[in-house]
Amino acid sequence: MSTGLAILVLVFVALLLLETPIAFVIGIAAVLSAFALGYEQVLLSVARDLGNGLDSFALLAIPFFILAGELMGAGGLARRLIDLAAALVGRMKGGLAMVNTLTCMMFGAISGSAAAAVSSIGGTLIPEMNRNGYPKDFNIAVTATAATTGLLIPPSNVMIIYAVVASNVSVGALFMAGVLPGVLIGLLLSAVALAQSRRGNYGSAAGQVPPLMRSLWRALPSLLLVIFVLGGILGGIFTATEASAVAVLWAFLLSVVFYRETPWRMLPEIILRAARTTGIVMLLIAASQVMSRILTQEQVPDAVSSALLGLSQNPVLILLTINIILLVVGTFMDMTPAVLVFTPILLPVAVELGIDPVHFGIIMIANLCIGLCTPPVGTCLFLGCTVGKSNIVAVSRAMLPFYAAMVAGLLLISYVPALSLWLPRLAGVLK
Amino acid sequence: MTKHIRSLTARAIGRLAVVIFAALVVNVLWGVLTRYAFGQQASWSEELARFLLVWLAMLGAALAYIENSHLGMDILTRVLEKSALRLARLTGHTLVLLFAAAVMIYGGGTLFLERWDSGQVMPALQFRKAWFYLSIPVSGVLISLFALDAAIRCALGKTEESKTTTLTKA
Repeated sequence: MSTGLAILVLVFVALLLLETPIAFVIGIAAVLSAFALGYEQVLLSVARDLGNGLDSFALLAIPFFILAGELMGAGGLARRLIDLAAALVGRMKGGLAMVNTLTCMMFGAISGSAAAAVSSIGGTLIPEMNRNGYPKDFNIAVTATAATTGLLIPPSNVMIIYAVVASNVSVGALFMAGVLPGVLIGLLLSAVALAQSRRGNYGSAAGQVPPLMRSLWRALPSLLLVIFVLGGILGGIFTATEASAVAVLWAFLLSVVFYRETPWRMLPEIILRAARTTGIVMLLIAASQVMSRILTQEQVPDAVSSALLGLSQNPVLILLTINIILLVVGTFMDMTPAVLVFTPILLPVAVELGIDPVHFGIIMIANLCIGLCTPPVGTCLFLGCTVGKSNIVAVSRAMLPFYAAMVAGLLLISYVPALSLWLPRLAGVLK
Repeated sequence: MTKHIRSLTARAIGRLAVVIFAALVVNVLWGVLTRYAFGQQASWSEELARFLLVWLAMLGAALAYIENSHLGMDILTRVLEKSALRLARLTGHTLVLLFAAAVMIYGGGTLFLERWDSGQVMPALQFRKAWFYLSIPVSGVLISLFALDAAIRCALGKTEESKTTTLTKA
């Protein structure tokens, strides 16, 4: 057993360093260790697991939310949300920083992609903040960190992925569970941004603030997407997959028919982008199913569980240990593969400790959000640096107070289960 | 393979994926609608959706490979010298080639034939399940061809631009 697993780990790490696509790294490592473990008909059964891993109606929600996000983001969504946020909080001192965090929260929720939030919101707001006397690296740091809150505020694809690998976890419950933690982290980031702006006297003069009612009226149809999806799932009107298809329809109606910002001839290009992203995510999911079957067969989760519980019986300490492991993982791994690889290993420990799987999912996502903003691999950090034209070292330094806010939020989310579980219980989607 | 053939193939796969994606959306929306209008969803709708999904995923995965947009980690490769980088790339592409050929073409192909012989059908669609699994060897053929092409180009000393992890969605 141990040689096979050692091969899995070694091959995995070596190939990752060679910049081989992670989905293939997982697949190759799984095949080699299956051979070493003496499994029969390895090639056939790995191929079967790849296919069967995708044979699920629940997974369909992922391509649909990706497509809805692409359709929404293609139009003037960013501008409308920025105007709304500016009307709400733009007038105060340091207001633009608040406008940034608030817009990122809304945009991230609607588009479902932190990366899209960084490039769309950052592309507009970072230059605007630069012009208004906010330092560049600070602006990038605000955008990159706030963009991750959209992964906790529903709808969120990474939650669907978690629900699939965790099994027996309801997507509706996860969606509801993410609302308060996402808003909490958003508020903490806003507080840091505001405090920094006031102390450094950034953005002294308030700029033009659009009238509230008009900007609300213009942004409302886009925000309705979130409400439709949540309301539909909670009201038992449709499943998460059906909700995602309705989201596509709504996004299509808005951007093509209502706002007319996306001409018909752009549609194939938008669908193509979504198809490419779907291929990337789905291959990762399929390959991870192969690997997790081997891990389960070799009882790795049990081993990890007893090793961790052997360290201490104190749930507070174990949860802290898990969080530290995930923080380290998150610094060098993207969120989707990290959730796919580590959920099957760590979730049993959490369950053993009496943590609700829904709560654990939120902890995991909130934790990995931090990794998106840290070197050596941090999608949001890198993209922010590209969009805002700065370098990683300078921005990482500007990030420090924001990291602190995110870690504080993570600790609250970890140790106050009600933050995650109160809302889904209230809505009746969780017992 | 010339750049021309690469982009032509990518475009053909892309077109097919777009059609499948559009069909998928229409199909699921139709399912929702019929459930409301007639109180009962056509049972083939969910089966068709899962069938289209696996094809979309497999074609999308091949497309992403051709266009070099899969998620990878460049912690080490971004500091490598040019020749070392070429070797790293060559190894990576070769391993992907072996995986696609052994698991996706050979394993997936065997699976397809096995299901074809067993005559298993999807209950509502009355359609052989083998067509579902065919997506795996088809994607495998595309991926291995392009991995071979990329490996040859590496071996001949043409290094591609470093892809950046930042371009992929979080």
